[in-house]
Amino acid sequence: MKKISILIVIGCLIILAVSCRNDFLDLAPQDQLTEASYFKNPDQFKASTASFYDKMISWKNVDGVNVFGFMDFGSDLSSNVKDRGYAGQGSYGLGSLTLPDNDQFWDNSYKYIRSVNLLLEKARAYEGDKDDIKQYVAESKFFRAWHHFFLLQRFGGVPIDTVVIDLDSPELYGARNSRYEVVDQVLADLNAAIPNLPTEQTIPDADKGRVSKWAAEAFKARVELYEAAWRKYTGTTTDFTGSAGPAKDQVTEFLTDAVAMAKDVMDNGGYELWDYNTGLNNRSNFYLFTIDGTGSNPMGLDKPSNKEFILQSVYDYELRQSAVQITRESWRLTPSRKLMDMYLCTDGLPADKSPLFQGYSDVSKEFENRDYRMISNVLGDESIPDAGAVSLTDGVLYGFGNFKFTSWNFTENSYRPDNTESSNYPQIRLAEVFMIYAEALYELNGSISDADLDISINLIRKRAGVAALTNNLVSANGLDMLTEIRRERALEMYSENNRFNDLKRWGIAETELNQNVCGMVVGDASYPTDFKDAAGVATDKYTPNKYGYGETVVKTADGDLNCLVIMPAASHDFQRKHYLFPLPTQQLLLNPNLVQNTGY
Amino acid sequence: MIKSINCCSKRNSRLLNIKIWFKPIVVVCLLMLQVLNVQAVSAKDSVGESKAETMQVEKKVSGKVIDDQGFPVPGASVVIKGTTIGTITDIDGNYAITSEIGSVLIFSFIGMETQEVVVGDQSLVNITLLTSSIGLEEVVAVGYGMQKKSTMTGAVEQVSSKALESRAVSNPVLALQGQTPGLTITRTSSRPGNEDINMQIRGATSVNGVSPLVVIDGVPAATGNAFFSMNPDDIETVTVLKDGMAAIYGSRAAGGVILVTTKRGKGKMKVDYTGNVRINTPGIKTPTANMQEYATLWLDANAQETSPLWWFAGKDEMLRMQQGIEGIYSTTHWGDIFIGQGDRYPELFQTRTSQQHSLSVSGSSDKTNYRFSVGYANNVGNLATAYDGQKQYNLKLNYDFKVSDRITLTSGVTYQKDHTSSPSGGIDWSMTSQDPPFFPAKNPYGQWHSNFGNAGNRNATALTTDGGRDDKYNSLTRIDLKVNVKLIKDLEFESSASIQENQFRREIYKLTVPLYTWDGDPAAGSLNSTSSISAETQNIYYQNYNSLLRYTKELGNHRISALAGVSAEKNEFKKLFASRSPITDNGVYDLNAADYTDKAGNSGGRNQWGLYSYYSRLNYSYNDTYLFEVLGRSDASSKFADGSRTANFFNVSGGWVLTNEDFVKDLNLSAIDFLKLKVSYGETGLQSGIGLYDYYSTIGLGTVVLGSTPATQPSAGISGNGLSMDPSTTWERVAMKNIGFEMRLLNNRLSADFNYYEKLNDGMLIRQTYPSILGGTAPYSNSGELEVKGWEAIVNWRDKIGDFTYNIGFNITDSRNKLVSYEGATTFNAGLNDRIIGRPLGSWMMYETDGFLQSQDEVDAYYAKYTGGLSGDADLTALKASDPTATLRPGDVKKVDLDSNGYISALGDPAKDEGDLKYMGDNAPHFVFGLNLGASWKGFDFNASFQGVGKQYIQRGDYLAYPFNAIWCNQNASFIGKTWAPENTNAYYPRLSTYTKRNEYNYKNNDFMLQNNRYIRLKSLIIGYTLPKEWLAKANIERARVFFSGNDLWESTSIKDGYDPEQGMGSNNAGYPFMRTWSLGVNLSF
Repeated sequence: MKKISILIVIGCLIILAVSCRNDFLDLAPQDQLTEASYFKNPDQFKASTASFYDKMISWKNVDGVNVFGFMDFGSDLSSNVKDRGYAGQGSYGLGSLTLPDNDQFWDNSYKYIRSVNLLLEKARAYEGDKDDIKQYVAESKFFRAWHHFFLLQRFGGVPIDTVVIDLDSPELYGARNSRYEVVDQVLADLNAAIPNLPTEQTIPDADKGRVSKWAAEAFKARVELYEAAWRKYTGTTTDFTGSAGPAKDQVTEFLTDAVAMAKDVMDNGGYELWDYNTGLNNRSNFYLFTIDGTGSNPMGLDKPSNKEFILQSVYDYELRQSAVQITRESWRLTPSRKLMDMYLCTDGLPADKSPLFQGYSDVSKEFENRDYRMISNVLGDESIPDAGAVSLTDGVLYGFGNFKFTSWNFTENSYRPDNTESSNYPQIRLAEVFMIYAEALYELNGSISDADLDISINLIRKRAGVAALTNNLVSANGLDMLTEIRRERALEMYSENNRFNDLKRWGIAETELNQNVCGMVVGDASYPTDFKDAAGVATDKYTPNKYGYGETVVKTADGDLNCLVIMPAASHDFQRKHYLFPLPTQQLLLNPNLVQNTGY
Repeated sequence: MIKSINCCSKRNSRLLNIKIWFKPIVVVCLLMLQVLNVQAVSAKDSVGESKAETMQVEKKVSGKVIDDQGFPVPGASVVIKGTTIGTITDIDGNYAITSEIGSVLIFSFIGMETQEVVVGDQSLVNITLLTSSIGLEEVVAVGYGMQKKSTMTGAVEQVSSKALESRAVSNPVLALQGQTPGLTITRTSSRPGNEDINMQIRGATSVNGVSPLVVIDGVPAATGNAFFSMNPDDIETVTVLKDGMAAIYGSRAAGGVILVTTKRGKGKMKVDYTGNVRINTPGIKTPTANMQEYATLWLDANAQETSPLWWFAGKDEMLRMQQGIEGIYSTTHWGDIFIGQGDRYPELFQTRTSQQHSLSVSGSSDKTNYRFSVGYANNVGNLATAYDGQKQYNLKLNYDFKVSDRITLTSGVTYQKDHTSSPSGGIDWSMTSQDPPFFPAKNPYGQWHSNFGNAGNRNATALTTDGGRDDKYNSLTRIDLKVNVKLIKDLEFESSASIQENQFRREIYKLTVPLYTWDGDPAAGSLNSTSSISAETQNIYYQNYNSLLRYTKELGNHRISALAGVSAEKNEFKKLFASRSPITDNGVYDLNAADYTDKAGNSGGRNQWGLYSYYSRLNYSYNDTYLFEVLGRSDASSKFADGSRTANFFNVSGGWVLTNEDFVKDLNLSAIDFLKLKVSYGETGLQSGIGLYDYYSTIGLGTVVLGSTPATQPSAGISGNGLSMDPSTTWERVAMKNIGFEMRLLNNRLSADFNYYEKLNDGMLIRQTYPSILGGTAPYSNSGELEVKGWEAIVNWRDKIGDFTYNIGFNITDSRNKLVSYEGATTFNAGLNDRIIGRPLGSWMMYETDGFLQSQDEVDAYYAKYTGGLSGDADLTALKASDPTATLRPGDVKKVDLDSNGYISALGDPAKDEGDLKYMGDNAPHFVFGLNLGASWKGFDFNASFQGVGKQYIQRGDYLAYPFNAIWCNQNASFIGKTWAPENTNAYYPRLSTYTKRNEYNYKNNDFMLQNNRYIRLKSLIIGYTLPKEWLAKANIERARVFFSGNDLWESTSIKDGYDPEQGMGSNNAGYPFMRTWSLGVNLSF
């Protein structure tokens, strides 16, 4: 009996063990969807394109990158030239650039482009009505253009990536495309995207932030103006060895289209400048960039009040905080002497030409009768400093602050503590479209009418409390129209990651960057200030020996005066090769067909 | 989605061949054995009959077994040779057995030489077992069975419970450090429950990092914690399978296997108690500066600058600080603030006490044996401000029952729980490293003081005290059942089931701690500005089923044993997480009790994996002289696609006992008692680099925020950007070769074992580096190759002089690896490189330096010589002569232009031997050794165990790697006086500077920054005294011993910059000191 029972037990155990083999091996994922079951309906395409939005560089760190790697750190407009922590931007302005093994911007861009290409591949295979997903295909193409343009600005011509690359694809080891081919690809993607994108007016509130037809047109205008100017002023001087030249002269074509695109957005986009000067003590230019709940400005205006941003990265205190110290980081973006003197007086004239300019005899003076943007950017909501209110005794601060992008009431009541600031980041805003319109029109025709100025730049100047720019004002005061248009751009777009790109496409980066970067006018015996008395002796507001680079005489709005040096011209060595960043050496080794940029 | 271009056709064909023949063989074996079963069972009757016949010449034999010192040997086994009939000596060493005249009794005990006695007329047989230094008669666990050490052919080491006895540790792994060569155990902290333990057998095996497979009582442990939280007192032996012998565990064996066997009951009922109370004192102090030292570094650095940088104050302020003057200082960044002695170290760390207790009841009878134990430990780290430690609760019952002569039931029930409790924040680099050391933790009003006056938001003392708690619980329930059936005399069947369920729970709450200025005003910053609470559970449910047939046969001098089995395993994992934020501190910390206004979050997750395997092993030996073993395993894993699921692993080994050969005996080498040569070749597998579902392409779901009034929207993307694993990708395979000898000399007093091994991982799972235009990380493919060579040696001496016995043991091992192929790993950077073809993993590529620039003339000449450079991270053009913050000056380093191309640069084509970097060794520990000293005299016993590393190159990393790597953090005080200055031109380090760019040039990745992390540490010191029996008799105490046990009491190290040699290369999180443990304990047996 026992024998039999043992046999049965053994038999059962073995049979049991062998028979359930698949229970141990056929184990599919239990908490994930699989690719094979996805991309079956428009909602899934919508969700997939949603993932592209946080890949535009903005506040929050994504893949090790945020916008503080750019801004205008290290440029001629900023007195923050030593901060090198931000993707090397500070030392970049000094012409001090090291050859990197790897470049996260190169890697990330191609990563994002791949996810776009994947979606486009899925869209081609979509079995439903393709009309239902055309918006998402168009958004994808917009982003493919966006990232290629980013690469173009940083590296010049780069390999164009429009297919999903396999490990054995020849594209892996492709050569660089010329910048001309890259621009054609960017424009081709935008042309394909624009007709299929919804207008802002038809995008439901819940989807605001998604790319509209106008956003794509505005971006296209940006690309065209950028490239037209580059070809006009910088030309082929930065092309890598072996790069093909432009197939044809496209400058006029680009400028014409840029004007048309900008005009379409201005006329039909329904966007408006955010102008609440009356309720905000003329500080619209300060509060606009910090809208973040009703406590973010004295009028209680929240995000829906903003009709100026055409494409923005959306943040929310509850749902998506910036997770960076927007305020503290932005504070560091202090203006340089040059920027301070570039701000206009209320009569529309540059400070060095305007009778309204009050000089520098005390620190309150230079703020008088000036552009609201200067007040907004340098002072935020604070009042103009009293005479003697600024000290230059610590060797660190140079007398000016920056408040653009910083939270209102940050220190007083910590409305938004560090890392919780959640204002939207403007990727494209109406003011830029106005400036594209004016600049492209001028570049196209060599002139611009007052009427065209009035529907573009002068709207911005009005908000800034500055008299209109007219052909009359220019000729009557010996100004140069192009310089004034460019000035407008520098002032309005300060710290929005434009300055370096502008200087390079205008072909003047070497001249503008390789200068003394200065801070406060400290004067001397002949020009007493808060910092030097009539005997030329430093007052108790100023400790000269704390400032390592001393003083130098530079051209100011009130003539050649003694200023505090932040970074001497001798320390700058920005060259033509620096117009483009070097390709990461690791990539050159991995793909011998890649050629390094000239000069590296 | 992705086509593989890296299939190695040679490799595939080899796999294919094995596949073709291996599986049928296993199946045939199993079938044959099953047929044997049937015959065996039908043959049973005849066996029974023959046994009945011999009953008539039975003879009762009894006696006492003592050791060479005359002490009784309890638990020794007495077996009738050729049968399984046997008994075990009781606590006094007495035994009684019924045998037959003419049969042979075998007396054996672990660690002693086995004796055989022929039963004659006598009924009293007293035996003295000699201590065997060699342990050749030891029976060692080898996976699915036991083998005699003397006839084993693999590289196996066994550590007995002795190494764990009286140790003041509650984690058995820590007690194994330095005990056996080839098993290297490292930790980077001594914080209980947070030691960051890493176990590695025979060095690296793969770039993917491999941990050994831990098998407890025959079943793989479901979690690492199952081993770490065992009661050390429950462990009988720990065996380490190092070579191809581990292949019996197939696809998880390439990192070696650790077999843990727990104690079972033996002899008459016995109650054992062991316990200790201990004092933990902080060990080596972290070298972070106090206020005076901090100011000294600044002053020394700026003394060398033409354009001094004082950061937040000026020279006058620093001079005041250097003198330790506390008071209001005027600063540029934070206004007028109080600066005082703010060295966190003395206020954060202090001596703490811990304890550990274990109680067991064990015994056996004819039919059963049992052992029941409970354990409790409370280990406390040195944190002074709050509890930071681990509590451990253990319960174990091993109960075996003989159902009949043929059927034995073995069972085990384990419950073990560990609870690690720490502050929810502050145990990181904010302790002593992040901020300058001059912000006292409290202001004069007793409020928590803000760093940087009004602005700061860090205060580790406050955060660890009031910032909330982080509690982690693991509770493991394990049930094992095994039935063993003797089918016929030589054949047995064994079937087992094991279920392990581990419940992990983590609860964190973070409370906002307001900070105050020195004047008592609320500061702008606070700690945990957003309070929160979260709870997480993770559940692992692991099942293991196993059935096998075991056959042993002796025919004259031929001994055969064979084994074949099948096993199935499945692991299921589930997770749940929930959180609320912010919360009100009402003293009750549970999600339910947490009101929330902003956020509530939750997430889940689950996965599973399974393994289905056939295995078999055949041993043959002739005359105990010629030894041969072959084993194989076929694994099918759920981690691979159907079709490439199965892989086969094997090992072949042989041994030759020369001392059994007549021609050797004829040589009359009296000094040599035993000599065995052994050699093996095996292939094992490794799947640690692979995810559970890599062959599926999945969708990652998330959310983005959009809308004029922002709201979340679903977002989705293809995981890995569509670069999923090729379905043909499979396990890594590691070929292991081993050759070695075991030797016993001078009357078995001296033993020497030596092994040399090679490992070749030629299908290493790597992510090849492709040009970034690929747009993602390449999936794993079997395309890397790593070669490892190494050796181990053990020498033991054991002797006695009168009453004094002593032993000395030394073991040492080294392992060297070389990356043979790894596409894309041709380039390297300055510093530590994980992988470079042709070099070891973790290679140091450093700049060679030629002393320091001693004068301005030398500086000028240096600039003149190296101006033309392009760029690179040592580029002189970045250190412009015109820039006072960067220009080189006397006291700075002279880097050598190794490739003589006119500029100093890391860059260059390594294939052409270009660039200025030089290979200077690797970062793995080499010459890892252990030294064990033991002695006993009358009732006293002494044991000292040293452990150390002979060579390991490290470069300190993170912010405190060198002075002024960053100016805003604390500094390393150990550099004071060791840097170049005009009056100290022969210094070891270059001059100090406050400019970080230049400091990077002067310090980072320069040859002199590489330190040899050589050390020797007194891991354990035990001094015990066993009380004389006569004192105890009245109290009914069988045995009583008191002992002192200490851990980490002393060390010597070549580390130059003040850190503990065991903590690794980081400097940021190194505020927490390693502890020294001083304990008093007692063993009692009733």
